Amino acid sequence: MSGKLIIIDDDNYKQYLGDAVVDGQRKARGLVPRDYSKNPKGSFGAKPFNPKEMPLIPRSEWSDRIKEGNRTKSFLSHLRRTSGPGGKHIPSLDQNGQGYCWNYSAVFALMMARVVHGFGYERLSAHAGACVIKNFRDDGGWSGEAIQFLMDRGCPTVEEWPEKSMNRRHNTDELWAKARARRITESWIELDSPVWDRDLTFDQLMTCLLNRIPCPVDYNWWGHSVCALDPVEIEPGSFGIRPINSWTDNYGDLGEFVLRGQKAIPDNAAGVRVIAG
Amino acid sequence: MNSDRQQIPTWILVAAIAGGVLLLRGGGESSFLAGLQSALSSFNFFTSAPIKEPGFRVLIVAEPSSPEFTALPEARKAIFTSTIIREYTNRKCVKDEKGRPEFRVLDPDQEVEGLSEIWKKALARERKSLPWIVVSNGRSGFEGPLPASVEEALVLLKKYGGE
Repeated sequence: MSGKLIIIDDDNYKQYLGDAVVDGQRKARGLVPRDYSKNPKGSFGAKPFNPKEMPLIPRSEWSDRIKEGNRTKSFLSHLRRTSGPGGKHIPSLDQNGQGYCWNYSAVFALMMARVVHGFGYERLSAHAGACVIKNFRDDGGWSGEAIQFLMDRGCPTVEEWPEKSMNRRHNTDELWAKARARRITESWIELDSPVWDRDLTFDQLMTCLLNRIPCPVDYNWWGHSVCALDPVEIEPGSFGIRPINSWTDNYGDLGEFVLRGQKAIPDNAAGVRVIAG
Repeated sequence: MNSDRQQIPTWILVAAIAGGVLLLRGGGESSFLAGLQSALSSFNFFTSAPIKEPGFRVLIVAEPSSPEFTALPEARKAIFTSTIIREYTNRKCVKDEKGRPEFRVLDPDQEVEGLSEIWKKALARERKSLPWIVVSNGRSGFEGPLPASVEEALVLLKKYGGE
């Protein structure tokens, strides 16, 4: 699938439901759908999406705004393509066949937010938080758990906690003291549950992306969580999003792909707004 | 809010020359030069660059989850993340201790604990509105509302960062 534009929609999504294999390697997912009875909106200390704080951008404006964002090369995927080592792209993360997608999506959102703020690219260790949250078990979860942890404790770099390592010896107070410098601060936006209004959820997500706010997005139909980067217009009047996966650069186009239609509407999502310096 | 380098006031020039003459009488040429150098270096105090430290720096202050930011025309919103702007600032901005270009996009309520003193001071400067931009080369600079487009922003940056 290397270098290939993948568009997943209502017509073809079933072919993506089975085991994912990228360049001969099996890739895991790991989303456990959020249980709203246990984790209702507003739990986890999250600040829900507030239309008074960030009014929705009307759908009638989306097309022109997307065209201008592409013309000025100012969407998050554009920034990703030039903000990595040596001015090249930021490499995709790799969850290594373990069910930690929900933390990888949130950590990539944090990495992108740091680039947006001018703090530069640092490869962060998404295994670290997932290991601590799940007590070093290979367990599924959802991105709200990850966001809350990133707000409370931050994230170490891969130099501090080697990538994909589940070794408990890395889990020290000293490491987490340093990780606080890479925290999500102040607040995050919890998008409205599509249980109530799927159009509203999608409008909120598109507004975040048009404001260059990276969003971890969870999809129950896929059992997977990825990080949404851009709003896209696939055909006139047909909108979707461009997420990045955590299955290496060999998936799709350097890890990126497109979701559209009902398949683009997340079952849970958050926006990484403000981060530590 | 344009803050091009101010003219050195006449009285300072007179004082510097007089001081130099006194130093020359009392301590010879080396003392004169040292005194003159000291007097001239103090002029930096009078530059109105919004960031006094030498080198080209850019700060954008904005709150992406605010109604004001959301309503911005796309041409203006693009300035924050445009790779056209970043390509320029990556080349022109001085680098911090971690080798990162001194270009920041900060929230007005940004936690400042991890920021350098330079950014703490820059973020604490008075602002009349949001989004706000501070451009400085240490000698002169600009602080004011964010320009209307990527193209206009680039013109502003090049005025102080050169090309």
